[in-house]
Amino acid sequence: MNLDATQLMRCGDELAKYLYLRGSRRVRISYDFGEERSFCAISAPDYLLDEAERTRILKVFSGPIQPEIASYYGALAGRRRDGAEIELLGTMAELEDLMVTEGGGTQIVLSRREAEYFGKRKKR
Amino acid sequence: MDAARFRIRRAAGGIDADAKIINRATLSFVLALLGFGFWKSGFDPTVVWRGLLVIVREPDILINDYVALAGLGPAFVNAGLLALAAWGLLRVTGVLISGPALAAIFTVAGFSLFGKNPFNVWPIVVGVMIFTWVERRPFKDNIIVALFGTALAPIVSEFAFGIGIASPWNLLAGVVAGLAAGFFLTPVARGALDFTRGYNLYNIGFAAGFVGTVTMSALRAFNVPLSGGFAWAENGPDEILPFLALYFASMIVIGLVEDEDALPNLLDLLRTSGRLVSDYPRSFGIGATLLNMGLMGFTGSLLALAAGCDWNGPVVGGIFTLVGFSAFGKHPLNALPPMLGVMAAASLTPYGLEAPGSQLALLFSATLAPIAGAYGPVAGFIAGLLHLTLVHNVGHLHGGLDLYNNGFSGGMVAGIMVPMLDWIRERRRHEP
Repeated sequence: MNLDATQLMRCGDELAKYLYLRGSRRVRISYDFGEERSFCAISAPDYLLDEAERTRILKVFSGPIQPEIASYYGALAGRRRDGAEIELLGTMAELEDLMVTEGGGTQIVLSRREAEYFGKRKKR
Repeated sequence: MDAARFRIRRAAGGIDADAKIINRATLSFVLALLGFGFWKSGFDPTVVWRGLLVIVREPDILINDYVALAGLGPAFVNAGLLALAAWGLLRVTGVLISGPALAAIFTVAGFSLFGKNPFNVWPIVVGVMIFTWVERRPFKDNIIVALFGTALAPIVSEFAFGIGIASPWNLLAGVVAGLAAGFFLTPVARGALDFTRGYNLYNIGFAAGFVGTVTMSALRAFNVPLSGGFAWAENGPDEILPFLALYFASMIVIGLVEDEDALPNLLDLLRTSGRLVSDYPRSFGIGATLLNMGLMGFTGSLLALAAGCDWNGPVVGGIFTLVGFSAFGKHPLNALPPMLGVMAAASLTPYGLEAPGSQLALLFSATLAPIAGAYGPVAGFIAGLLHLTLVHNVGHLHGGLDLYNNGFSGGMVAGIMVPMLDWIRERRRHEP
């Protein structure tokens, strides 16, 4: 399995944990792995992110992707039991969408560009 | 954790403006090192050149102080050249210089006062580069590992100049050994993160300790004699401390001038645990980060003065590393408990604070700052106590081939303490 897919799955796990710690008990994660870019959607229909949390997530993802941090320290994502560390996710993936709606709950979509850059066949 | 803590009040230009300031600050650090080095060499290129030749040819395993071997001037020029190389490598690969990169540059510069030189770092960097190529990733993905991985630079020097291989094969042996060490370091470093879980800031030092131990064990198995060597200058603070104080004061002034919210952001920064990954420029802006770096520079210098440390290459290297990691996890509130723990342990044991190993442990024990930040000052203090006792013993395993001996020891302390602290915390949480 390539590193980009692994990293995106770590991001999904970390966000699921974040929502669980905030109180959600129904979290769904789905992935769409593409050739150029992969996507991860997390939804928590039973939980509404408040304004402060939304601001925090938007700020985490406001910085640029930093592969030099993500490829090495990214292994730490999802490792903590007693807290989330979503700051790290901002270096690993981009925020595509953040929706909070009455009835729909919270939906977050992340994406990550495939970075393996040579070889006729990509590793799977 | 309270989301309000994570508000970011950046300078007007945001991350791009911060990146420009970081670049200028890094370049000014390089120029300060080179300027101080040439000044202390009497602006005589011959003195610098001869000093650099001594630095390259002498053994580099712990502890070989370049200030003792070649003099203050050439040692600082060597540090400036390698800091410039690290900065150049980051620029060429297009990496944003944020917390980890700043920590790497300052660490490379610090250890270039006692172990790293323009000959012995490159095979390690190229070894990491080859691993990255085999992994089909861009080199920039592993640039941080490559820079911190130069902890294994003594392997190159030992194979080239220390174990008696005839010329010119000695150089080839050094390069090949360095390439192999660099190649295997990346996967080992990723594995080491699982053990320390981000509570040992010098994680690559922990990983490098294993690579060094395997290398040293192989050499011992074949009875290969090592050159060894020990050099430690016993200088007072008069020559170096004013230069350091001026530099740290300038960091504080620039931090305050560049970001009007530097002080409130610093208060937010002080509430963080410092656990990996705590990228302070990214989270709190460059103003608060420079302020923290300057404050930590003064904190380290004052502790070194109080402990009666010798002002030589390794001690100044320790202060530079402390300052660099103040962009990446350390601040006064989480760094002081383990440092005070080391001072207490050194006073209570026969090691004493006058031993070179204890002086280095004092400054480098802040690798365990995240334990104090996450579990409280008492846990941090105990971590410091344990750290000193371990650091005097683990060096024998790798025989000084891992320059980050404190990272090796810190990894063991974190690996042992964190599961126990987690267990205590969980038990308290479930108590009626």
